[in-house]
Amino acid sequence: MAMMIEVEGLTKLYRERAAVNALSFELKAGEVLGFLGPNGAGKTTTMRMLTGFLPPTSGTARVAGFDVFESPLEVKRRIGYLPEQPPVYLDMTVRDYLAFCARIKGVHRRDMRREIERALDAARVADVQERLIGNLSKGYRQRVGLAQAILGAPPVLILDEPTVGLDPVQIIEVRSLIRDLASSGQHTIILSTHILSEVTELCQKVLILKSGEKLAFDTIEGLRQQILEGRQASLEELYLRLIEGKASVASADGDATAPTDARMTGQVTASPAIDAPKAVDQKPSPAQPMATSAAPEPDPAPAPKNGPDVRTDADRVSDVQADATAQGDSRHAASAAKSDAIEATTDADKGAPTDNRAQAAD
Amino acid sequence: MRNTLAIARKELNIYFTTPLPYALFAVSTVFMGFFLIGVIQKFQQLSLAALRMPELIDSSLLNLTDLVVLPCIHQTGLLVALTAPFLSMRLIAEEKRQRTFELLMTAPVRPIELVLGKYLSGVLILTLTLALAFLAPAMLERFAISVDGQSGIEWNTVRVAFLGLFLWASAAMAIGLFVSALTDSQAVAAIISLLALILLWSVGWMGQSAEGVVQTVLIHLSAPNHLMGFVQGLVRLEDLVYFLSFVALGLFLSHRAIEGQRWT
Repeated sequence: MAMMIEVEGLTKLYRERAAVNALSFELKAGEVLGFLGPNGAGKTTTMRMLTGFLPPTSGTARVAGFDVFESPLEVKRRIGYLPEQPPVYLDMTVRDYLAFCARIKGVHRRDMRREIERALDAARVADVQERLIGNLSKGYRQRVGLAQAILGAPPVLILDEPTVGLDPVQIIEVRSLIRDLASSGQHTIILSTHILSEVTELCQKVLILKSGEKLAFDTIEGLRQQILEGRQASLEELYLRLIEGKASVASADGDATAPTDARMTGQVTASPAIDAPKAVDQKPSPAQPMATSAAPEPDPAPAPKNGPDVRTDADRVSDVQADATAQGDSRHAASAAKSDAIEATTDADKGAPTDNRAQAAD
Repeated sequence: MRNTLAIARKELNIYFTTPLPYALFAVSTVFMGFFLIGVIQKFQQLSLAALRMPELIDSSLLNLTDLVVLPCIHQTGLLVALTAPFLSMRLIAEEKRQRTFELLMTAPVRPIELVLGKYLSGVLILTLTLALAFLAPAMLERFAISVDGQSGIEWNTVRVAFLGLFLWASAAMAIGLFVSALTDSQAVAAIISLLALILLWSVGWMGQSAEGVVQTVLIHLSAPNHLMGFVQGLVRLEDLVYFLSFVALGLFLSHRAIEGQRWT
């Protein structure tokens, strides 16, 4: 199966600051990717680059083989995008809005009616189709935005925090809608969210981003293997481990590229977060076998090294964390306790649906 | 083309859902009424003077077209400068503020189609407002009779005058569209394009007190001077070039502004 989404060295600089730094990943058709990371990690920026809304500073992104930069229209034809704030016109009725979206998305005149009906039903907004969007609740607006994204049945769906700000019932509804879309197998979905159980429930793969750097990209099971050596643990624990810098995982496509930025190195030596790489160094990193020859670094193994320009993944994690070191230690303790608690509650409910999803994608 | 029409249609849909165009129609009708009453009073005084002193004023020159309808249309040009900014302000600024710009820019729509669709809707709705100015000659046609007992209105001249008004409205809309593409604040867009249009409308008066090259430049920049040609029933190349170059420049810069949006 050909790759539906290929991202290579994607970088976005805002002045000096890298919002996304040398991000690479690939998705096969039909895969569902959970896109995780703290606020400001660069998730939205990445999605905007994939949809052609923002140009990357460097690197390439291809959707269904078309370069986002070189053939933007071909790419845009294949993507349904729901930005964080649903892009709805408050002064239009739901139906008029969807008709407009269908027109600019190039839905054929003949199929228009059927396609709008399908989106109305799928997003469960048929009951409000004649109402002005401005008079609808937030949950409805979100679903209208979702209806817009699936118009024309695009092979790729990019959903930026589709459940944010919704009440529990609405969250369940939107989630089940996404689950339907995912299980149809017709869409490659990138889903950004802060709700980790959502990822466990809906996604086969996880991409974790922090301060523009990729911390991990693998299947949930694969992450478990690498970080916890197969021990059963919730995604919450994995996530906290990665974000808090207790471990780092080189992804399957080999992203051991080490940035050599002297300024950042200096910060690390001065920061208490230096204990993070040590912790990793002591045990042979399970990530190592996964790091392939694509890495320009001659020896990507996270063995202890003192040279300022030979840096390991763990170093990078501590780098990106360096700005938050003030609360660092106390946070480690707190998060460890938290993750234990979460583990106990979520272990039970995560098994079956995830497995089904994985089979569907195969 | 299809995208252009889809966008224009959406704009009109939204325009007529909001009270904005109705408010503008109302305000425009009131102003045009004032203009009409003003020029009719002047016409009345002239006619009375012509009756009293037939040796001074040739009453055959007193006709409704030249003395009532055309001055009215010329004054409507000012109304265009005052209303166009309120129609153009939301065109792109609102999309940015409401984050719907993201929808347009991630849909398979070329920036030029977006610009043309927006522009088309703006020009259409402004033309609709201007169509209200047809009320004046239509009423005069119905109720007024000229000295020779014929209809008082020379429709061909009136049509050319309206062509001029339409071109001025098109230029105003193109300028407004560009300003709207530069900001995400409708108020800022309205104020800036209002200033620009008032400047174009009044720059000729400044020219009267200037000298030499400056005067020539200012007078040639003046919109009412160029509109005057049409109002006199003349389609002059220089006037056409003047208005159409504003249209072309406005559309070109809007397109650049939207393209540039992606590079910041």
